[in-house]
Amino acid sequence: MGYSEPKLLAMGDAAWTVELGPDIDIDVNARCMGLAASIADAVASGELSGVVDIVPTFRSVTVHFDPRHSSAPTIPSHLQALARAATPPTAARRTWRLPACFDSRYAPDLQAVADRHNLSPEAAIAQFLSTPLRVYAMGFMPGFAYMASTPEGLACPRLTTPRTQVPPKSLAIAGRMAAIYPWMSPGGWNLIGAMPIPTFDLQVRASPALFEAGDVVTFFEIDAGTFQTLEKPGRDPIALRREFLVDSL
Amino acid sequence: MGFCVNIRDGGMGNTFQDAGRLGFRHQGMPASGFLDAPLAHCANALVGNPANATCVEMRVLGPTLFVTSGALRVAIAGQAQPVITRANSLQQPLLPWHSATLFEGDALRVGAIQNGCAYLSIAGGALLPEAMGSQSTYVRVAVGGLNGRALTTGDSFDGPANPVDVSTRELQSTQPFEWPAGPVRVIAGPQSDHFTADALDALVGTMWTTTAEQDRMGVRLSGQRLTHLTAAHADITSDGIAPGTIQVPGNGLPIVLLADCHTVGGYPKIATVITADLPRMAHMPPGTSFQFQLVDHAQAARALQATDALLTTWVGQLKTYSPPGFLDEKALYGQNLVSGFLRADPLG
Repeated sequence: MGYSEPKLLAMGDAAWTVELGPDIDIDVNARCMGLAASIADAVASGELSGVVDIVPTFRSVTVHFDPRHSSAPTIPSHLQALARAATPPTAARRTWRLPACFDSRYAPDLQAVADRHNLSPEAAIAQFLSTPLRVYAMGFMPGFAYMASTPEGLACPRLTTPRTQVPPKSLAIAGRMAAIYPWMSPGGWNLIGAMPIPTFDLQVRASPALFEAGDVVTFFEIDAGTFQTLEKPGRDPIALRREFLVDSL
Repeated sequence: MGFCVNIRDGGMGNTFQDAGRLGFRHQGMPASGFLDAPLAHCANALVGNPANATCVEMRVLGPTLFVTSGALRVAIAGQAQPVITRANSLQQPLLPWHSATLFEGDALRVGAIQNGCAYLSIAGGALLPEAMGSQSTYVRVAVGGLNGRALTTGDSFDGPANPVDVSTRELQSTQPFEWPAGPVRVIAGPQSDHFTADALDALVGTMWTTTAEQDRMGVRLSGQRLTHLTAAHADITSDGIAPGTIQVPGNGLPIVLLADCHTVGGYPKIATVITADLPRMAHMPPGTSFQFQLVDHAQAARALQATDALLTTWVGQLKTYSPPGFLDEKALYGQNLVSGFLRADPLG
């Protein structure tokens, strides 16, 4: 459930965070996406100026602005009005249907996750594939999407000892969230597979990140051979993305 | 191209930065950019660049640059003792707050950076690719700057075809640009309500010391541990963060976030350093003690105006000067002398 009145939180003199609810909630998150879109519209129409970044997250939207801009003092009242009126978008901006490989070479934690719930790895994969996920927020590193909610029947804690190096493209779950690592990095999530399409690619200049908050994501299973084919460099990155985009507003 | 520079010694902690990579934080991309934008503005003013032109930000040990071809004008804003070794082996200091022109065969050794952050500007800039609208280096994912990394021994960069006319006189300042002392001012929040009243008192009422755990992402402080209301208040649902926010993890010790900070974070943020004072956090080598002071938005706006006025005044007092060996044709012809000659007065 969200707050009855949006909370406007000062983050210094160059950002405001508009908080719509206390924790992770699909309706609150959807309203955050609606709010981020209406802020972007207000910026595009010139009604709101001085804004440099709009960052929707799980239950709030952070707006970064130029504190030297003459309209900086009026930004909070604008945001408050937009937040009160915020409604969820009528449809997801984009829906992805992405390939995922669960071959054991990419899935060192799949057996343990399955064991925890008395499932075979195949049954765990079937559960994972059965549920569309939603990108609740972007962050932690460029292109990293926090996706939820994975089925209750796969819920698992983070690793007690995080890995110092998680391979890029790893598909990982923790709690009831899923993510794909865009880069080699440390990480404590359970690795259950891999997704071959780069989730951050500077060649796609307008949008290096594959995902944006509010996207809907489903996965289908591929074998290791298909994974390696899709992973091969040299393919046009925009065409590659388009291949797996089901729906776009 | 105008010049080619080989990095003879990458030094330590040196990266190309500009005003930052804005407009991509919703994709998880940090803003990056100058830690001390006004100081970079000073360096740029000394070589006639626009205020936000890309500079080399130097934090620990500056680089040694060798001019393999062409000529370039440079200046350093900050505390360092750089030395130019001319092609004929003559050594000259490059005084901070003075521009100087380097020619083919010259080397510039910047040496140690004395108070945490200094800028090397290059007239006309360097030819670097733009990534997501910025030349700022974000080392963590190898984006921007020179090959996506800190200045590295053996790397080279070129200058634009039409750099600034190096036959014009050099610029100097008679005084350094210095930040005023005094407490670092903060605005409470966004999660000040996750802390006890004692913690808020301690934030502004006790001394803080910077630790060696600092980089372009943030600075860890040591001091009195700040207590969250309950253990559960030490974690929040991850939300937006910004350079200047003061995160307090479960151990109670604050981290002041800087330009390369992530875009979201899961620790509560007790307060946020105001824009006017954030550059000062780049000048706090390990062991620097300071205090925080609570202000409101109106005070923050006045502080920013004061900072901008300080910078405008500083840029306004820059004067031209002629270094030794400089052929001042304009002055010579102005004085109706028959032919040019070399000035030989000592530098500075």
